[in-house]
Amino acid sequence: MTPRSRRDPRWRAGPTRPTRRSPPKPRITPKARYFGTIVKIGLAFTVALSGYLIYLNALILSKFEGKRWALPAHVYARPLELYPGMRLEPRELEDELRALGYRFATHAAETGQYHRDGLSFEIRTRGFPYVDGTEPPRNLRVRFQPGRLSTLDDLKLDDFVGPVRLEPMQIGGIYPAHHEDRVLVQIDTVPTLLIQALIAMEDKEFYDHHGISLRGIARALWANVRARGVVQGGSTLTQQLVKNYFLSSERSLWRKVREALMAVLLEVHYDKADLLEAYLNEVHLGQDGSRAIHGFGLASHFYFGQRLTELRAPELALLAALVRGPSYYNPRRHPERAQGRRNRVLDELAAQGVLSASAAQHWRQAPLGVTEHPPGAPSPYPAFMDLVRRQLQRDYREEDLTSEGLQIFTTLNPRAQRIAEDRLTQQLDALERDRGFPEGILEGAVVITSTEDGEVLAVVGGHDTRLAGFNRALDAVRPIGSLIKPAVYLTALASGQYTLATRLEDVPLRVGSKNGRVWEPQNYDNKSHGSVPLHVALAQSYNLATARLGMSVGVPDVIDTLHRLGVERTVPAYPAVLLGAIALAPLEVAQMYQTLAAGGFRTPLRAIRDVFTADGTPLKRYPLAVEQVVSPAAAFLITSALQEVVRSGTARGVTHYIPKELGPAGKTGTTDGLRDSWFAGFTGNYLGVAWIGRDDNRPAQLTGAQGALTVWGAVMQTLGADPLRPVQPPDIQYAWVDHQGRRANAECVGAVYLPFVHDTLPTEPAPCAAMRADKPRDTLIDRVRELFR
Amino acid sequence: MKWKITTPGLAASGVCIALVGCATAPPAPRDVPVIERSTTEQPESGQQELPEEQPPVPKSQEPRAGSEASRSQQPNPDALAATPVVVALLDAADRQTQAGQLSAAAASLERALRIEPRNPETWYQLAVIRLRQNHLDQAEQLARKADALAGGDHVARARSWRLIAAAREQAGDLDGARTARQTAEALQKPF
Repeated sequence: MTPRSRRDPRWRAGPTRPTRRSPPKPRITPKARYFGTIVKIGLAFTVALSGYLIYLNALILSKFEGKRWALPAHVYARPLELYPGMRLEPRELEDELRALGYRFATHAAETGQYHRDGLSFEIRTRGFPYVDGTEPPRNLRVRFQPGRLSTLDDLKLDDFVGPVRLEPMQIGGIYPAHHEDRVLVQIDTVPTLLIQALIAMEDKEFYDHHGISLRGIARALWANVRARGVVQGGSTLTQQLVKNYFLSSERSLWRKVREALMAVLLEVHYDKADLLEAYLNEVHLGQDGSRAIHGFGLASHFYFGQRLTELRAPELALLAALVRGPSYYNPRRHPERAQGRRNRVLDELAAQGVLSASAAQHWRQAPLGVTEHPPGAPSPYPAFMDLVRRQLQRDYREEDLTSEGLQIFTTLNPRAQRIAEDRLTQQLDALERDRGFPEGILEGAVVITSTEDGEVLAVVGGHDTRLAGFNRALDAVRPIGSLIKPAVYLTALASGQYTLATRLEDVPLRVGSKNGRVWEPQNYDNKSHGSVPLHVALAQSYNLATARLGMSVGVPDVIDTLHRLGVERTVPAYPAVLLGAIALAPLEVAQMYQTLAAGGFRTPLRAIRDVFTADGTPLKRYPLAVEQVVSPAAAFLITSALQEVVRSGTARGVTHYIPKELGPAGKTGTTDGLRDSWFAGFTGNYLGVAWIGRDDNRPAQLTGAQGALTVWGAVMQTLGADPLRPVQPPDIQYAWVDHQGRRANAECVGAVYLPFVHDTLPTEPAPCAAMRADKPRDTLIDRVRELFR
Repeated sequence: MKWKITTPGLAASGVCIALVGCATAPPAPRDVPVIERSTTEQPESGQQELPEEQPPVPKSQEPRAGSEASRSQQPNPDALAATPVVVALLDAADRQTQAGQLSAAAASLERALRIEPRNPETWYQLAVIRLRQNHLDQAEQLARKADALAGGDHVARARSWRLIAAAREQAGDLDGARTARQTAEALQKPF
């Protein structure tokens, strides 16, 4: 039933009746007059009745013809791509298969089954229509080596390399206020056994009656009398369909009559197959909180996590059993009742000759087979769904999202999501114990994206990851502290006036503003470090050097860099911005660092790939788009400096989680009074932003390195980091420099090997190298030294 | 002169697709991106003149990141193992392009990028699709991305810059097109 029709005022007000005309003046004999009155009343009644029938007819036809059930949008995770060489554990594949409702079998003989033997799987995939072509059902053999998928064969084809996509798993829906949910089925795809069971249990004369069955009513009456209570209803399937269309709790004879009339009218217009199909999609089969489960397509998914076509006899029998009372026979809550009713269905099927007696007897022993928890909704990933919803609301009206049955294909990577949730929760619990905080006081958020294409893989919005409340990943707008520093240094490096070796003064400064206020930043350790190379100032996160550098390049230029990197929020142009006195949400920070991770190409973060209509027509793509906002050389230099932050700077802790040879890049952030603990960083494949703080904004007593870094490190370690090796732009050249920024060589003690834009290479020789010819080209030994530096 | 894209050009680029990412494959003449509106088949003259081998890497140049082996002694198993899959997807994209299914082709290429995100060939092919779809700005940006990832591969870089020139020309930016073409020509000069 659509919300529209339920609210239909005509229906609420009841049928309109033609007003009775007053009888004409008496002129004839009383007897004749009496007769005439009867005729007239009869006529009037006939007129009224036909009027009413016409009205009912229009009502039920519009209901049926419309056939436009309000279909909620269904939201799917990314499909799992399988290909040789990919990083995947057998356990992860098995988890994915189970989440998709694949069944373990000793031989995977039917679609939707799999078999696992240690490191080898056989899978009968279901296939799926994707935007770039349909993935056919396959008979796959997948083999693993430790940590990797090693081979992939289609047992029906030779010479096969893949890749193969499994179907995407549903992660939620966007429901209208009345929360009716369904997955439409077509009659010719519905298992015959289900239809036979429905007819056997509910309406044996379905194919013979015209909407109502007198025999059925008589039999029900007789059964009820015998049992001294209501054990059978006499309603035909058609009547039940009508009843489901106009769900109402009213129990009256008048309603029964109305239903019967509409049932007859429906039968006049439609054939049995149409009515049956409507019934299969309409009937109410369960409840999940406020979400109503309608139709067998969704019920199959809701109870068994499987497609209707994949169900076996006892499961189909259970679904047929639910028609009589989805809450009374709820198999999750009342398994004995449900089993009893199911077995009656099996017996009836045997009595009708549909099942053999031995088969029925066999299936009677079968477990119910329902999943422990209903899949899909409410979404297990509320924070990610929140992001999807916000991105959708830019392009769609709420009513389209809740009624058009749109299929939304997102970028969510369930594996990354699960890892991010687990690691955040574990670290927060551990930090609370460590700091003596009461349980649940520390909050946090994590955003994980893929580095080059900007797809959002995971979003965690808080300590309680299942709670759909305040989404800190999107809405906790907090000062970012030192996370801003890469923007300051990038501004300097991109200007061509600075190199990684340029010396900066890390000494106190005072900046006065027009309103008379004075800004006087401090280093974290309250010391000043004198003259330091630029790359060291960033690696050690020196505030004084950064503030001076920022003042030299200009606050407006730094803000311009922030906007180029993807910060959309207005940033006020005061000096304190240089040390992170601007507040951003973790997702905004992810956008900013994404641009660095992608070599200076800004890619709007995307949570959605495609939107399809209910019938599978592509409606909208959200394509990958990039914009070059930083020169490749400047991006290379800043990335190199951020790698040093991890290798030898404030983010050294990362190397407890990821080997430093993989060259991860990142930056810690800590705000005044240890209120916010931030870490943003990237490897060759993933970018992550983690934030820890308290909702009441009191001190979390954590620096970036003590808090958020540990979350980030643990997440990336579990995800598996690829080495970060940015492509070296042609105008970048490496050279050895000494601590003073002079040209050195590999033999000079304390010299470092740094990248330079070609025309900014230092020329002044270092004393230790002055006697030797300049060596612009590095040797193998240089590289080896570099590795162990 | 006008740069034009032809289907034969794309088909030919399919040939070099097969070579991409495979460090051991011999360098093959890569074709010009080749851009064409008219139906007249452009003979591939001129393109034959392309240097048969890659220009030598200048002495001062670091080997580009593509040659991982020089940095760490063992080959990157990821890159080696994943390559045939990406080639299969590039082939699929090529077929879809030829069948006029440009959006499907773009989806296949995005799929390839998820598997191998820093493959310049894939980015370049995506730029070609956007150019054909007349998304000129994205065509240029994607070609820039391909250019940035090509490192020291001058042939690949020159090809990207020719595509940028074509995109600018179609957008009416003739000066910009000329600059881009000069960049391409400079890249193709043997050292």
